[in-house]
Amino acid sequence: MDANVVQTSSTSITDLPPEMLKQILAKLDDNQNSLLPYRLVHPLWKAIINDLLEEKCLKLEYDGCPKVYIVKNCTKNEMLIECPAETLQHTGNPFPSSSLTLAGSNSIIEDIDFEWWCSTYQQRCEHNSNEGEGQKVRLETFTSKLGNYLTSFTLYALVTSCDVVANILSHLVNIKTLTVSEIILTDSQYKTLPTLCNLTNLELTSSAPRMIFEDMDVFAWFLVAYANQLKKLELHSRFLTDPQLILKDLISEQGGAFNLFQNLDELVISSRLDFFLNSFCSPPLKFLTIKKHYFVELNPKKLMLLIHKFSDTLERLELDFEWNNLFFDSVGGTFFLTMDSPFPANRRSQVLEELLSVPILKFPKLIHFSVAFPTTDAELRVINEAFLVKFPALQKLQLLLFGGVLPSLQYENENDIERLQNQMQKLQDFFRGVDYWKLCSGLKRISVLARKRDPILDETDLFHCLDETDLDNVTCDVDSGQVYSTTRDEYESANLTNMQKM
Amino acid sequence: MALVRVISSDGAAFLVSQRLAKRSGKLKTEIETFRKSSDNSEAQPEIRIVTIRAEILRLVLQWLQQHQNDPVLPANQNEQDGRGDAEMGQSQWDRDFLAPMDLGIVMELILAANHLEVKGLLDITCKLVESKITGRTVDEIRTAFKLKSDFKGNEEEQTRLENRWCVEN
Repeated sequence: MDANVVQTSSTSITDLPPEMLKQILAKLDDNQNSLLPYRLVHPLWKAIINDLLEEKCLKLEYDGCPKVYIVKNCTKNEMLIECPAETLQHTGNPFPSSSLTLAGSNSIIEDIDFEWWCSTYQQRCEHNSNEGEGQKVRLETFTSKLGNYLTSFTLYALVTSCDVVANILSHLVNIKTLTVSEIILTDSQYKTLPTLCNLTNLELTSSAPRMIFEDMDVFAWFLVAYANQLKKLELHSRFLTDPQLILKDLISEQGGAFNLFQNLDELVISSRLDFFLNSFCSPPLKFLTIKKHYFVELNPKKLMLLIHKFSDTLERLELDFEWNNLFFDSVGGTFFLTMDSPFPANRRSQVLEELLSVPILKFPKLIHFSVAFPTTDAELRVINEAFLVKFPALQKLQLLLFGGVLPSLQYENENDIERLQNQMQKLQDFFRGVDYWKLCSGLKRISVLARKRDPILDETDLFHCLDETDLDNVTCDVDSGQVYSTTRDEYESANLTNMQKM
Repeated sequence: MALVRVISSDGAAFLVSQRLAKRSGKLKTEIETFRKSSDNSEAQPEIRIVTIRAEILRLVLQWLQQHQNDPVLPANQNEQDGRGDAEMGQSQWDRDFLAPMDLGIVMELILAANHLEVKGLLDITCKLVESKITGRTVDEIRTAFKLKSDFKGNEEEQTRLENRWCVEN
């Protein structure tokens, strides 16, 4: 081919089928707002991007967008929001992603006096008002006129009554995804929530330090209403300590525990694990993601015994937390099991053997497993002996490198470049030393993802001890990204080359 | 060496090894179908590609030739796993290969790679188009891709207001 010859064609981007254009535009999606400008290019682009944004919102990957704020929060009839004046005259759906966030405040502050935060809520709402820009409108008017266009909806940082929440939802007849994040109910008049026939995805989040009973009441209220129609559930609460208190209402409402969550196939959880993993209910889970959890005694053996009830259906298991979360019982996480530990070697060995003594359990459908990157012998053994041998159908293994450096970013600082080089070298050395390919005969791909390190672990967890390696000292500034990937084909062709050299 | 004749929409025939042709999912299926239906195991398969003209088919085969020892990527590669994305696999040769082409040829290559199920080529061509969009203004994108606005009435202004509403909050 002559590189200097310019080849031309009259074929245009409009000749691509919409699904191809969708694939291309999807790759431009860096964050919630990155796609919006491209809606202006062409009506087809607008339609495709609207679909992409809606899909993300429905999958709980984005919060509803746009966000409207409560600007006056008195009684139900006087609750006002602010939106662009044109929105109410808009013909058709004014929401690009068919989604919306209704917020009382632009953020909830976790570490201040929470009672003060609630008592100043009214001023906070009025502060949201942006004089001269938008139009103030009664929330009831807004939701009754436009609520039917929404397929996903987020309630965020709201202090309000049960009645108002039920009333808002009654106008959202088409929603499929609902996020309830950081709401505080001012009464306990838990009237029945409206029927939402299409609702299949629910996320309940609370991170504020407050009385645990409030969280449980809010969570239970929604779960009682929608438990049996949900396909995906996300539960995030730091202080949810007694799952049975929530389940008691649910069980009495449903007349028994055994049919609870009968359609649920995806669970993402960062509260008490035994909320779902106890004997009360057995949803047919296909996907289980366990994120960082708080104050919960957990170890590999306990975890496997808890999740074994899903062994017939589970296809993907993601343990999205650092190793110390999985060694809670052993006082100080893996520190207890490392060679530098002050504990006697025989005691360390005894604890490790106990943690690994998982009964013969198999997960015949599990094809995807994510776990923290191992940096100690104990962690390597846990991955091999507590997990991988139980997953005979495994095809993808993801190792989560907390604090890893992303090779896709442009580093200018020499230290960062050196860290990246060290990381890549260590990863290559690591993969030369382990043989997951032999252990899992169906394994097709291993990838390493960088994960942002939780600062709470480093600063306040006195028991947590990090290995002093370059891998641990670097910081990942983004939530996630791939740093390494390798396939069985590559492994086999490298082995072939080595054999030929010999 | 077993060969296959691949014929473009404008009648040009390319004689390529079956090993190379099978790196295209579509050609692999066609060759296997031919084998099953043919009594003569020595017969040379002939495959007509009615949607791809000679110049584009030549480019696809040239790309396959260059990448004949790469691992074959599954068509439905998981995005999060990343491999298969162009930034992981694009070589200097790929960049030189794409450099002289105008966007029209790139679009034809995308369509051809999609039709013939050549994931690696599809990835790098889509990535090239993506790079022509990223960071550009609406007018620059319309100019680059020879697009008209085509919005009816005040729809463009309305879209602008919706965007502003989303971004401001």
